[in-house]
Amino acid sequence: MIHISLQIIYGACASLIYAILFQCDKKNLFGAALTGGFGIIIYEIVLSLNGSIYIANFLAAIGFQIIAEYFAVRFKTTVTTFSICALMPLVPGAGMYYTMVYVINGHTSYALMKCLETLSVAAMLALGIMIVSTFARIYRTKKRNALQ
Amino acid sequence: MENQQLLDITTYAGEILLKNGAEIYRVEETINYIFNSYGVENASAYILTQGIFISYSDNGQTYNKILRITNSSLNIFRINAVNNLSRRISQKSMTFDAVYTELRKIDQATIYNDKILILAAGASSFLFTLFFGGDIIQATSTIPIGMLAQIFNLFLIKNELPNLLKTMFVAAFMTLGVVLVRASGLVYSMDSMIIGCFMLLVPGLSIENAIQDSIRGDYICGMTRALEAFLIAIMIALGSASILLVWRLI
Repeated sequence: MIHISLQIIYGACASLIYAILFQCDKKNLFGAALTGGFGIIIYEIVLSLNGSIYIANFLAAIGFQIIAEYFAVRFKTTVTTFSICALMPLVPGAGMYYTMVYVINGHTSYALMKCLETLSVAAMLALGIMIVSTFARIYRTKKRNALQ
Repeated sequence: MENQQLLDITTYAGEILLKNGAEIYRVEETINYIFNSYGVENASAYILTQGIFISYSDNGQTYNKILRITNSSLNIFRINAVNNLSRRISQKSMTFDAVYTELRKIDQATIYNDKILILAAGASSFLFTLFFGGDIIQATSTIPIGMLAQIFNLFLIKNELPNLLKTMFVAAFMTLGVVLVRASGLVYSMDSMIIGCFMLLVPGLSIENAIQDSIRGDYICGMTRALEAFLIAIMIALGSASILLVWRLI
């Protein structure tokens, strides 16, 4: 439990740092940290329930993208502002590293396995974001048409 | 004259957006939005990750402009600023000169200066080393590595090095730093430290834009971005592997 809460704090702080590195406006920093933290919460909970790494990333992407879409309307800014800061901690950097380590150690089959896993995780994140932003777009067009 | 100025401000707005990592549809929408605000209905803008093509006709005369864009990095503030400007133009008509000066101002604008970016890089490596299972000694020793790597990164950006080469050099630099810490005997494992530093370089922007471009039908740009993400990952691995292989030999 302590481990999970620490991970969540690290993840949220990392999203905040990314918001600074990407030059987000000061009033959006807190939102970016919340969005990132929410993504990590889902990720950690699914993993602790023995879910696979793929489903954890997929659900986390869906979760943070929903929050990002909400904050974008709330703070009147672009969705990317929040979505990319939340995405960064989940990008499979560890997978990339271990693939490389296996390659230079000559463990080709392990390297291929890790490489496939890394690509699949990236694809899962992409899928999650895609689904939510497609629905958000449909919702927005419907709302605009209703206003007219 | 007026038409020329209109072309100038639309391409300039598009250029700022593209250079700072905006999605293709946003660039296209903003350009069309500005054209509509000035009463041009038949304008058509074709945007690629590396260039802008704009054409429209007025009184039987066709006007067009092509612009080549190099290097993009993410600056969310500028994207939002151009976005807001295009909205303001549509609400109350602004003169071309006024819009141009605003755009000039946005093009130079940053919220956080280099010092803060360097500190943020240190904090990022610290947090990610902990996130990937490092202990407090490992995490603390990555702070100077992250900060020095960011200084190196900013230096390379100022010298206009191509993005991929830059990524490789910075990755090699980070690995070198971690290897030196390991050689000093302060830590016993390098994995979480190297990953923690690498998180500064991972191609998150490319992945995000690949998704956003693809779902809106800009497949060429989506694929370009996906390839970019893949190549960046390979470059990180290459830069790091070169140092690690030499370290094994010694």
